[in-house]
Amino acid sequence: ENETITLRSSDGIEFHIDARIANRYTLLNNWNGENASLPNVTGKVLEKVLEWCEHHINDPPLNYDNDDSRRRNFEIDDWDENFINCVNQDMLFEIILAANYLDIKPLLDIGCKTVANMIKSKSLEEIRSTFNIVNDFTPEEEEAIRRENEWADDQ
Amino acid sequence: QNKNKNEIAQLNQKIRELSEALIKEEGEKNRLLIAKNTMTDRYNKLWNEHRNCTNKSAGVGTSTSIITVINNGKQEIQKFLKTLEPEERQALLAEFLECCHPHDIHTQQAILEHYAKKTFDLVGSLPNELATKILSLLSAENLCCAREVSKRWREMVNEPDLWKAKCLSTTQDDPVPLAYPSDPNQWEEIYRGLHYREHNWVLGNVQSVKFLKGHTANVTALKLKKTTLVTGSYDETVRIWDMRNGRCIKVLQGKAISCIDGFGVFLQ
Repeated sequence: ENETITLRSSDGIEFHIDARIANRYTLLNNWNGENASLPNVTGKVLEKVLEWCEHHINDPPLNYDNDDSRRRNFEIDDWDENFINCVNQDMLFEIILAANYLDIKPLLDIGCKTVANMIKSKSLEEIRSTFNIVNDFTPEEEEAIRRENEWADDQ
Repeated sequence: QNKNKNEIAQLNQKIRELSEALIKEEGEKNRLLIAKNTMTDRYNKLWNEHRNCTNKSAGVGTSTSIITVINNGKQEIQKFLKTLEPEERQALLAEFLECCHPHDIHTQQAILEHYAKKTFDLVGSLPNELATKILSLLSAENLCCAREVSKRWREMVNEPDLWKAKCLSTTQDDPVPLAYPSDPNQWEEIYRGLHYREHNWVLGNVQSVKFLKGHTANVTALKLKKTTLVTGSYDETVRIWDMRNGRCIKVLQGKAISCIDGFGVFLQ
């Protein structure tokens, strides 16, 4: 039988998780026992994060110091893609913050890649509408930036 | 009534199965359309039966069960919808809106406004280091486009750490490690040079190679100023070259040359 540890979200919801999960992520482990409270993560978000951790419980050990981890690409595996596609922008934002705060690097990577994919190969207007952003530049400023940017376009 | 409930449960199951089957065969649009129609037909038929039945059995609040059906299958439904192509999703949405009663419009508006509020400047709201992490996954072309989005985005794209990350990942296989600039604001300029280099490499653009013929022994010293090159050699000559055409302008006789330096205007 597996050992469990208890985590408490900022809004007081308790989660009993397999100790193996906590062992994978050093920071999660630090919150066991008396320090079970995570002041920066709500129950709703923690539930999603733990759902991800549970699925990846048997992954090979993390090795973030080797060279491969620097060769990032845009690929996300099917389960992760499904997982991350089923959350809205709000939750995606919260998951990125929580993964960063809890130092769960692979989940942070997935979150970042997902957002990067939302920007990748989109036009200016598409980016603005994806993130509901209002253009706050004057036409002169726009012109200046466009000139600044020419080095990447004219190839 | 109960029988209807069971049927709804069964139907719910069927919808799930169908959704899954559909996800698997995303590419086959025809099949998808047929299945969608069949699904909608069945759903409508049962929904009508259910409504008739509800109307008959006065007072029993079974109309909530359709909501239960939706709630139970929520994840499946969301998964199904999110994996559709944009055109497919819009076509489906249009179909739904077509079925709305006039008084549904306000509810729809409220839902859409609620949704619009949920889309926000996700990247711009993140702490700078996380925004940099995301942006460093993008190409230079994407970044330049992102710079035009808003003032906040310009600020994020102008972050020296972002260009530093791009410089380092581009040069990670270089035999000579990249020299760090004294001013971090120069990282973008350095990346610009690397961008041309990578571009030329990918396209196989050959850089022209000039052979300067004249020296008869080892060349030990080079000094370039603008388009003039001065070379010194163990052949006891110093030669001055015009790099625009590769011609030797002048030959100076001397001893074996081991180093050259230039002062003032001598190269002008």
